[in-house]
Amino acid sequence: MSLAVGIDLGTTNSVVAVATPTGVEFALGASGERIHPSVVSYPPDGAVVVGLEGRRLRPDYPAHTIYSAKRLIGQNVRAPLVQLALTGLPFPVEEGPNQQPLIVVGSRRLTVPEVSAQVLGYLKRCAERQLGQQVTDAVITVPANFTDAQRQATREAGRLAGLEVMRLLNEPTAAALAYGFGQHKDETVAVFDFGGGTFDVSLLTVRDEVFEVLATDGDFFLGGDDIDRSIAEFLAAELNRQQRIDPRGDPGLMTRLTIAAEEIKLHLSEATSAEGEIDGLLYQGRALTLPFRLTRAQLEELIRGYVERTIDLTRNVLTAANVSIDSVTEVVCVGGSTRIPLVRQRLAELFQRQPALRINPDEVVAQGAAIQAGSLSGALFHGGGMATRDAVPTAALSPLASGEVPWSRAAAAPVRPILLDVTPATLRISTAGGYSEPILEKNLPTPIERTRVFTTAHDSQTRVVIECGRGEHRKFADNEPLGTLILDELPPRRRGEVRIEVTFRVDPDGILHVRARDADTGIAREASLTILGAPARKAA
Amino acid sequence: MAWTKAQVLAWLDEVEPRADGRSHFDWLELPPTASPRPVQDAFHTVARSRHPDLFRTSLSERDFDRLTRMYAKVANAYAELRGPTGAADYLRKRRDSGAPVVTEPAPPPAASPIDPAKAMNARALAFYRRAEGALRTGNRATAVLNIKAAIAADPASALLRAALAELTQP
Repeated sequence: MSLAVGIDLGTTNSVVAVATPTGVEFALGASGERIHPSVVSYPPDGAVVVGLEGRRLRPDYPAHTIYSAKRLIGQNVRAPLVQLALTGLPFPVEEGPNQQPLIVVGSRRLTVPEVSAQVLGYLKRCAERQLGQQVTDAVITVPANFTDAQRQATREAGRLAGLEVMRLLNEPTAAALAYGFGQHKDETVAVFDFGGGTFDVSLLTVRDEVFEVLATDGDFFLGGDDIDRSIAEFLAAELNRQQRIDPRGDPGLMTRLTIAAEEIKLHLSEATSAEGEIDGLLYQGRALTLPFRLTRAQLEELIRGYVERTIDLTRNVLTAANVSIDSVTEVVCVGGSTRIPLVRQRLAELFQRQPALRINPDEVVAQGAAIQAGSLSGALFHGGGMATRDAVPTAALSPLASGEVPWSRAAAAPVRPILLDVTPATLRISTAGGYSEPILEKNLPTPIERTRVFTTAHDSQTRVVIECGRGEHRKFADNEPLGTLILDELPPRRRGEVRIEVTFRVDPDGILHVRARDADTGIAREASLTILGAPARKAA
Repeated sequence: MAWTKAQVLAWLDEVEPRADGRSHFDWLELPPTASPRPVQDAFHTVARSRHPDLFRTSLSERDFDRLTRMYAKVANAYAELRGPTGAADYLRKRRDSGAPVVTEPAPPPAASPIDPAKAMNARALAFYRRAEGALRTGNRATAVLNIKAAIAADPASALLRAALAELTQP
């Protein structure tokens, strides 16, 4: 038989897991690691090296080693935030067809889904080696506030990796599932997911097997990478001050400083000051050494703006869900950036309680994805619960591969989780005068379908242009454009007499489908919206 | 508890043909007096028994799509009825329109979202506004002349070229 796995495809790190009759098992890398860096290195010898080994090549081949591809996936390369992120990257990125980013490696041009597919393919191979079975299906997690284009591009990456993507699951929802599944809870849970590149916060009710998201918010351009960049910029300023060298135009130097910045950040989560020297810095053929000293208090000043933004978004979610702080029964922390003491402190101050400590912030999302993958493929067993157990290092020792635990050991009838997720943003269409009307507001349950009726602006109008957008602004131009649907060859009638039914449908992956229909003639168009930044969409 | 495949198919056969005429209360299988907590309970009852995720492997692709679409209508009913005033608002709307509410009142008309003031220079905009006025009185020829004058004032404006193409198409 083939297996369905859960994959947390992260900005910095990825994790792959499978729900087995004895619990959730993580697939390990060649060195026994559970957490696989989302790094793909293309050294000049033509090899493709992924994961931990790929990350080891980063200092030697900064321009050939792609990291944080998730920050670029499904993005419009012209977006200001993307342009800002590109200034810190050691590998060149060009504009490709449909304004999607293309990563330049030597003479090759790679789409972002192609790079992410290398990570997914690597995870698939890790799982297959360990479990001794073929992996064909997967649930892949995405940030809750990912856009259509980002979701489409993530699906495309899965397809390129040879995976049937059963579902794109929102990361905070996956975390809540791992936290509450099989525990017969009746709780209101806040999931605070601060990762390498993205921030999400969701509020859920957990009632037995039903996980209902009440509201979600976030920022898909806010994460540990931004904190690393703040520290790297501090180090760059130090280098400039001490040695009159501005490293900002030098990708090799900035890569070294960014790697050092990440280490300093991790150290300052444990200690109150970091002091030392960064060596191995090469500048115009000279080897440099940069002595530095950074205290935790200094770091907190550098990053306070980012942390306060996460707290503000968390307050917004409480308001949107109409939930008071004292009715929140648990705070689940997800993502490596929640290890930063300032983040924990601000969260504890906001909720008047310490976050749940038994949750592993790096693994909980993959664990939830594995449970959902087991549920969707019909292979979920409910017996000993879905607590994680330690994975075994080699295929020969896995109780699954050795046949010690047969897959058919279904102790009891499976209880499957019901996940009720929501739309992360308002979906709207343009109307006369540059304004817009919402069709589906933010925080509505998905999958959902809603129809609204519109009419024409002019007499004898035979053509209606329906511009679709995503965002919370009344002026259409202030929202993110999603695409255009044109309904033409309408019979000429007086304005206001035409009834155009516009139906928005959000599927279980959170992807929008649009349909417009003239109620009188029955002329209809299904949207294939062309989304800027996304790879070309196949007919659904 | 999850329904059997047969129960789901029977439900689809029952609700699909009359889908447009069903009220939000019908979809949630509620009397039209429900307060917020029962609305959520009703939605959870439907989700526990018929959520499409439960039938991904057991239904044919076609029946799975049917279920997803009908479930999406239940989700919409829940979205409209939940909250302290959801049910009351819905009942008022339905009473005002005198008929089962299947659609909402028509909001402002759909049209091009581009703000003309941003899409051309000021001189061209003056001609464009005159063209709009001419169109409102049904004078198409004058509108075309004014759009052409606007293009002369701002040859780079894509909106003006699109407007001319639309006005001069047979």
